[in-house]
Amino acid sequence: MSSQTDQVPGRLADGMPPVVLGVVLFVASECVFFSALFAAWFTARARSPQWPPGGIQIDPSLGVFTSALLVLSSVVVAFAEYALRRQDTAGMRRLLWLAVVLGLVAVLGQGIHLGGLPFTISSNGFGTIYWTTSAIDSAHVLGAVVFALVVLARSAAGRLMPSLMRGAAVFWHFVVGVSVFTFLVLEVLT
Amino acid sequence: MAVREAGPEVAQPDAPRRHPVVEWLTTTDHKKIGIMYMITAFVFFLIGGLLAMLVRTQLMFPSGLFPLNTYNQLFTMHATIMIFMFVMPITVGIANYVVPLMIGAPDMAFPRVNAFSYWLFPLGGIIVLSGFASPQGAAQAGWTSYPPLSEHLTAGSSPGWGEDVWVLGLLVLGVASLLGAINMLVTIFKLRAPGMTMYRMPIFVWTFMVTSILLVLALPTFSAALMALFVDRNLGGHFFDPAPGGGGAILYQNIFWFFGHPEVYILILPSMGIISEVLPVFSRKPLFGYRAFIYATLAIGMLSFGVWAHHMFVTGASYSPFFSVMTAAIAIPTGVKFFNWTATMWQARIKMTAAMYFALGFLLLFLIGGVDGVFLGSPPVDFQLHATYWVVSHIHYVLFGGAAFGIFTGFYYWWPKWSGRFLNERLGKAHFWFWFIGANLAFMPMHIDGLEGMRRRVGTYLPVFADLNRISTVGAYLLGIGALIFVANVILTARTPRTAPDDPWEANSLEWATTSPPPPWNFTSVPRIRSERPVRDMRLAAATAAEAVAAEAASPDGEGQA
Repeated sequence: MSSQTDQVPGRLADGMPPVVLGVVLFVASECVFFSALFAAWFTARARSPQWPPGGIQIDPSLGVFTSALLVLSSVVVAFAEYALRRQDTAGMRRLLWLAVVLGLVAVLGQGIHLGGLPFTISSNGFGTIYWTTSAIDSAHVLGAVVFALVVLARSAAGRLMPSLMRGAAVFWHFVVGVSVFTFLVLEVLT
Repeated sequence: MAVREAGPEVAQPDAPRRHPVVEWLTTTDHKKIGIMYMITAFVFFLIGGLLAMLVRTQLMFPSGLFPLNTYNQLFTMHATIMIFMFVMPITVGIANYVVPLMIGAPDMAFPRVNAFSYWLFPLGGIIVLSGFASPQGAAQAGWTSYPPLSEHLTAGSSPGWGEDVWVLGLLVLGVASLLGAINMLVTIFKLRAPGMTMYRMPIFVWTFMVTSILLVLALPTFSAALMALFVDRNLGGHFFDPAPGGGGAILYQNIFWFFGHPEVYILILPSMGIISEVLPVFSRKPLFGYRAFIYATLAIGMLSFGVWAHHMFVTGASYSPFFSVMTAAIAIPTGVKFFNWTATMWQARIKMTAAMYFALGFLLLFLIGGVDGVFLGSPPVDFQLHATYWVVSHIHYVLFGGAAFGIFTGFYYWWPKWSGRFLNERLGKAHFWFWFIGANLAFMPMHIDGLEGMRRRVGTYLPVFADLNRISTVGAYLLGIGALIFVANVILTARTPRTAPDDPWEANSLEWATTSPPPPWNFTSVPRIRSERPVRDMRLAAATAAEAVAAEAASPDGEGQA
């Protein structure tokens, strides 16, 4: 299980393992990326006489459901990490599979929500930024799911570094945070 | 020196023998990847340089030579190639090779990610260049690609898929740069040899660390802007639609320059680091004010996020006093660096190698580029000079006189380490003079063009500017000849025997403590690091030991005579 070490032999063993540091830096860049999208959203909103334009009404119930699922999945991932720390590999895998299923259901929910919207990406500025941000958000949830699947695959092969699990968890929590924030900005605060 | 004993044949014992082509295509060795980065970027440099010659050929004649839409493609692709496919990746290549060596590491933190980043680079570059195959030609909206010019909303602006592949290719290059920057930061933070504290790292490592931080925090906004441009062009989006409800064209400028200004420092900081390695070595002195230089680098990095709207003074949509003051403030840490460099050379016994020529050329040309940039930081001056040839002159003094001269300083300095061979010094100095004179001939007259009101990015001009433009064109051709001299130098010296010792320049940093070129995994034992000049420490220790042995051998005679 922990036959692979987190640290580079002969190098500084304190602080974050390299993989986790890499993921943290990637998350920092992702924050900047989403900031640019939200900057576009608020700029378009400030330039628009009416927001959402044309009296568009969005039903937030599916968004509430997917956000709740994602927050729950984040808790599950945290427990999966604790399981790994207790050397409970089987427990870790069960919990991580559960998180993967929750993530996929959430993406499905987001897809159904987008499919039912009364506007498209080309309707107006609101629609463009709404669709783009939502689609990128869902793509990120899928990315976190893929990362978790990599962890599961390496665990099945007996080659999992604990730091990779930590990295996957950091990315998962970030994605859930962004997803909830996106929901709040696009649907609750409009 | 124990670390000297490793030869290239001391590969890891279980490494299977592979055909050299397979070996290079599949390598994860940071040194091979660094070399591939440099070769690929240099090929793009030659393409970008050829486009520059064509741009200057057009401008020999007030009424131009090529159709105007061809001219638009020429200058757009010239800038795109030079910025994203030459200066950025070639500094990544240099850093890929030397940073792990400088910090005493065996490789980068994530060698496979490193190889992946590299292979995205030629892919992205080819995607961008494929625009020339489009019936309407390659991208033609300038390297800044402002909407509405870069969108479909205005009739006739950026038609065809040349602009689309420009966007997609740059997105690919962005992923490559981002992964490379993260890899570099983790390498610097986690893989330093014992004893290599942060304040013992070579200055080049520091400047590349700050460069990588800027990439991580600035590049994603450019990716977002490109993606939005793609949505607007291909999915009917309204990100940058000037109509109410859209984000407006100024939104693009804000997002683009939030990346674009840190990008300027991404381009120049590595070159500043290179000459900070070279000046002390050939001045036979330590860098004056090592820590001050580091703090100045950090200050430049931080300030670079607060100046983006100085590119947008004429829009009237930015708070000019703030951005003007911040812009002027950047001159302070830059001035600190000039003081560091000058004081390093003060009363020194300078060795005038080709690398040193280029380093001095950097100082002179970058100084001109820095000062004429400060003028642009003043809004009333900028209102007059915006989008004139003054700006073209400024950007070429800092990017060619600064970044490119720094890069070639690094080439002449590290060439023996990379190849085991020396470049010819006389050809190197000839290269320098062609470039130094050529750059000033090409770019100095542009100051006057700009002050007199000649607009940039326009393929025709009033006949009154003809003489100055012809001087610029002659200068540009001299730059082309200089580049060919460099190519000739590389080809001619490639046949000479590998005579470079470990430490030909009597340098300071750890890459000179191993063989030239270094073996796989770089070092056979961890070098002793007790200061920011470990190789000099080793040299001194060896010299002291040799003296002691000599004194001991001589001592019986001395006693006999006493």
